[in-house]
Amino acid sequence: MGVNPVQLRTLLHTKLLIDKRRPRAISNRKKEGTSAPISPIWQSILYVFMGGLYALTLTVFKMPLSGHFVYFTMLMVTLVLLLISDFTTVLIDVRDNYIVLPRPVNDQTVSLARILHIVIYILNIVLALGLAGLVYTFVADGPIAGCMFVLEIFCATILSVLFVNLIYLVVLKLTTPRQFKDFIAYFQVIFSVLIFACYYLLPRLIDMSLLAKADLSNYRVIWFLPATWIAALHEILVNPLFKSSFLWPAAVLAVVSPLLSLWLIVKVFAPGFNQKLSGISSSEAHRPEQAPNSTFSARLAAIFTSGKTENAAFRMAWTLSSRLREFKVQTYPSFAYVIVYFVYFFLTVGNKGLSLREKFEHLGESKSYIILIYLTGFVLTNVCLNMVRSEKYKSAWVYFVAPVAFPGQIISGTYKAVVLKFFSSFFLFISIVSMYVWGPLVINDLLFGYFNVLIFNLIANLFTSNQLPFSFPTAAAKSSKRWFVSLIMLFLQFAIGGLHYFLCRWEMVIWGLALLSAFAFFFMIRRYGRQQWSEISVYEGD
Amino acid sequence: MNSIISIKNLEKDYGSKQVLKGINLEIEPGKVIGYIGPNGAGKSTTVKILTGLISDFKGQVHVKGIDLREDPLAIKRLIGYVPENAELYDVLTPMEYLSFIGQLYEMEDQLIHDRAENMLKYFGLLENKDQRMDTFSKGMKQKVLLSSGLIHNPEIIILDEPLSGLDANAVILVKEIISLLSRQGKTIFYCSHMMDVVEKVSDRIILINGGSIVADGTFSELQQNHGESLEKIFAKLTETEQSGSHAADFMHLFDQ
Repeated sequence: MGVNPVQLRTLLHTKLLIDKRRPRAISNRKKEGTSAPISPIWQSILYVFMGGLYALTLTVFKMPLSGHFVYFTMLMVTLVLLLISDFTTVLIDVRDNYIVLPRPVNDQTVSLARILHIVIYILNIVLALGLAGLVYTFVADGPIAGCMFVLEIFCATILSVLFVNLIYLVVLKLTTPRQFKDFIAYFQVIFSVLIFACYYLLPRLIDMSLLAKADLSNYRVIWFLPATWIAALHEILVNPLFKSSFLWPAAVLAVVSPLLSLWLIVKVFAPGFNQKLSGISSSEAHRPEQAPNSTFSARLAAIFTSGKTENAAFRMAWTLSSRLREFKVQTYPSFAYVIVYFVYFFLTVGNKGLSLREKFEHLGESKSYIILIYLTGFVLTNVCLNMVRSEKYKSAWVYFVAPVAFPGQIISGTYKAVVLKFFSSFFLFISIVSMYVWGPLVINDLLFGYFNVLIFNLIANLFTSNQLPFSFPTAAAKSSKRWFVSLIMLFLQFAIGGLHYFLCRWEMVIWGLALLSAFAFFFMIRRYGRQQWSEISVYEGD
Repeated sequence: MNSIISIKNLEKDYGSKQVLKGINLEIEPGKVIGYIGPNGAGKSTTVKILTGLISDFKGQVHVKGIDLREDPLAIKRLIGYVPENAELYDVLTPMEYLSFIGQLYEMEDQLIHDRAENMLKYFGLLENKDQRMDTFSKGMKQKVLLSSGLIHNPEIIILDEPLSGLDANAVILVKEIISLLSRQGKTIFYCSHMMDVVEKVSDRIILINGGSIVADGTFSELQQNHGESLEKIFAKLTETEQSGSHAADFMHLFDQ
């Protein structure tokens, strides 16, 4: 084949070593306070655990086809999400080209190293995710079913890889290189939200007794899904009594479609595909993109800031927060988390014994909007913690050489930008929903809650070491003091939320308190902008 | 003549490592000072102290008679700084970045806009003024940094390897700008490893080694005292004269 085994081994070893040290999408970032990312062993254990949860579906569903259909759907969706959100960065990384291509290494060796790297990566995930299902099938359905399960996993993997290829193909056709990277970033956000939502909500939404009786084979549409084909393969082997006119065609598809997929991947997609993917990084350097006009942020800055320094910081934070990919990946999930927390609360607390529909009907009579209001503090805390971090932290030298009398002006300008852009717009959304569900009378509660959340967040910021925007590396350990104070403030915030809940029957009291809170906030934000250089903490890592 | 920069007994240590060991300097206005030295000699530390990036040091630093410790802001207004590495928020456009820097110097918006456009035009970046800098080459970013260091029309310009990453045409342009700025009466503090450029543009050359000044004077003065070219003077005074024998030793590595 012309492959040099020594070079192949070296290339593969180095690729795997680099891979080992790369932060993963599922853990989102390096472990705080350490230089090493989450270890691959722990990563695999996490996948085994996830696979264990998925395997529960095999035991819960009692009707034919259903259990395996749900299991393979979850497995394939996870695999697709992991491949896109986690492994794409490896695929589009062309740095190894600069190192390897000038050396006397032939194309066959480079290509094989790349293919083996991908295969090892996928095998690692698939084996970990599928382990629990495999063990269960061996024990419950016998060794032949176990062996068949291995084939089923293989088919599911090939179909997932084909699906990822199709997604890449469409996205690469429709987007610019930068938009492609943004797409991957948003995929990471969706993935983390999905995992979070499933963890909190699924167990509360699922009625086990209903699931046991659920017969999905009655729905014709599921016969078009690849997971059903794979499940059909299993049914033919272990459940000969199950009859359906679609069963055999589906089982044949389960075997044929991966072979067809493999042919498609190798013959149609693979040639030029890797080049196209890796071309994303190199072409980015040569394809300048016009940046959108920032007159809107300039207008807002003119309204909400005082002084040139605060104005400059506002505009810069507004622009940077839209364009820094890692900032978006870290902060955007928190918006969804608030909704998930609220739904979790709605499903678990109060109205015990009521059905989901009844609970929803009673929602308007409750005071749950208070919980929703104070949960938004989570978004603000998260945004504030991330607005000091960036891969471009070394660029923060400009703050120190410029004649800035009060660095607090830079911090307050940034704070105002993120409050307006992220917190206030999200709060507006929450307000509209609240007024729709609970009526317009809740407006005083919304105002009171809005300023309370801002005040407690500002107190947390004032008590902790203050950092200039985007001046700390993303992987730097978060200040434990900042975390601790933020946590205490969140608790205090919820305590005030409790008091608010108690007082909300007296409308005028809430109006008065809202006014007081607003005054307090405006007084505090002025103090925030007067911070001296001596109060500022500086990253001294390198 | 009064010094524009006066440094007395400047010392700085990082724990047990003393980086600056009592630097004394008097710099006259309107001169181009070539500040050279090997890696780790203390050049960057001196520059970082002058620009306010390092505030804990021993000794006295006065700029235009202003004590750096007493009124650092007044000194920062006088100085324009161009760092060695093109570290900037490159998701911004050149206009956005220069506007941000100009605002930090409290310049009027219209003045920032006009000056930024003119500077970018001179550096051949006018077409790219509204493009994100993450698509720029190192040289293009360096030109934006140069513009940002000059946008507030400072009296003192501190350039740390300003030619890093620039193409030949841009190098000629920057050298020309340095001499024109000097003719306008600006003081230029020029740190570089490029001896030939330092030799040509500097009115005075200061050589620092191991945290101390080991040579100070015009190029011809240094020539008279130490040798022929600046490169040789540098090698002699920083004790790297044996680099020839080191290179020979290195070549012996291939004998194995």
